[in-house]
Amino acid sequence: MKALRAVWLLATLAVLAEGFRVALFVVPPDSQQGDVQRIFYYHIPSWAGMGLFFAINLACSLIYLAVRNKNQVLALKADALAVTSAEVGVVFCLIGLVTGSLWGRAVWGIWWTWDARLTSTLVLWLIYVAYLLLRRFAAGPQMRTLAAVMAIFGYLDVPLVYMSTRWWRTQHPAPVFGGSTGSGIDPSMMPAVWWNLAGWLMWGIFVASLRYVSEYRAQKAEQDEALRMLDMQQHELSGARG
Amino acid sequence: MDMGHTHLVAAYAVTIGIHVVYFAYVAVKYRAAKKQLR
Repeated sequence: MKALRAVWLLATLAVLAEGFRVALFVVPPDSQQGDVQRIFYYHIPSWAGMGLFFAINLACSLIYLAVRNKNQVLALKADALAVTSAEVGVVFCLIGLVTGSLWGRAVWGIWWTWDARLTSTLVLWLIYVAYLLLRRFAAGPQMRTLAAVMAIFGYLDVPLVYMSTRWWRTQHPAPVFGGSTGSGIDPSMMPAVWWNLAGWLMWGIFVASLRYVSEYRAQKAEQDEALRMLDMQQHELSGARG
Repeated sequence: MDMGHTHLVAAYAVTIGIHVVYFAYVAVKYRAAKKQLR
């Protein structure tokens, strides 16, 4: 596992380096925005990463709710992966918001506007930050179940974010990919999109795999401790009766 | 360096910076978990 992780990291760093080179020095600048449009090559992978990890969080939350009373081991693994993916998704979402703000300042002249896309994305980020705070500070046996339910409701904002530029007229431009006829970017710019998309998703998977290990071990230790305490209490009770 | 380039450099630096900071946090947690296991 350690060797696989090392190989994966080396491949990821190589892809990221190539993505950086292609985005800044190979693909042509945008005809209207010039070089600042190159923010796009780091902006888009952040949203892709957010979408992937929030979807994993949703799937794991559903699995947790489905098996929590039947298969403790699977439930624990699903729950640990849910926390991990929410955390990585929040990081990608934050980067998307910040790079978008920097791009907006350069192109629109403003850092922020309360349009449908930006507002729904900020709300999404806050929902998952609240989810992580719940995980961090709440205690008790119902916390995991509550968090899983919250994750399912939180995910409802993801399609809203995705469709916001299609349903409403917004300051944010119309969708570049999967938009109306004529949308998209020049094919000569696509290598920068693919390299960076691959690189940042590979990075996200690498970091998530490390984070999962510590989260699962922490939860397992917590569960073992709870079971040990329960066992001790039962012994004391049976001793008192005897 | 015009405004566009400043924002471009800032966006790339912020992206890499946030990932590095989060990676450091993950690495600390990972090492702590490994130590606990020993």
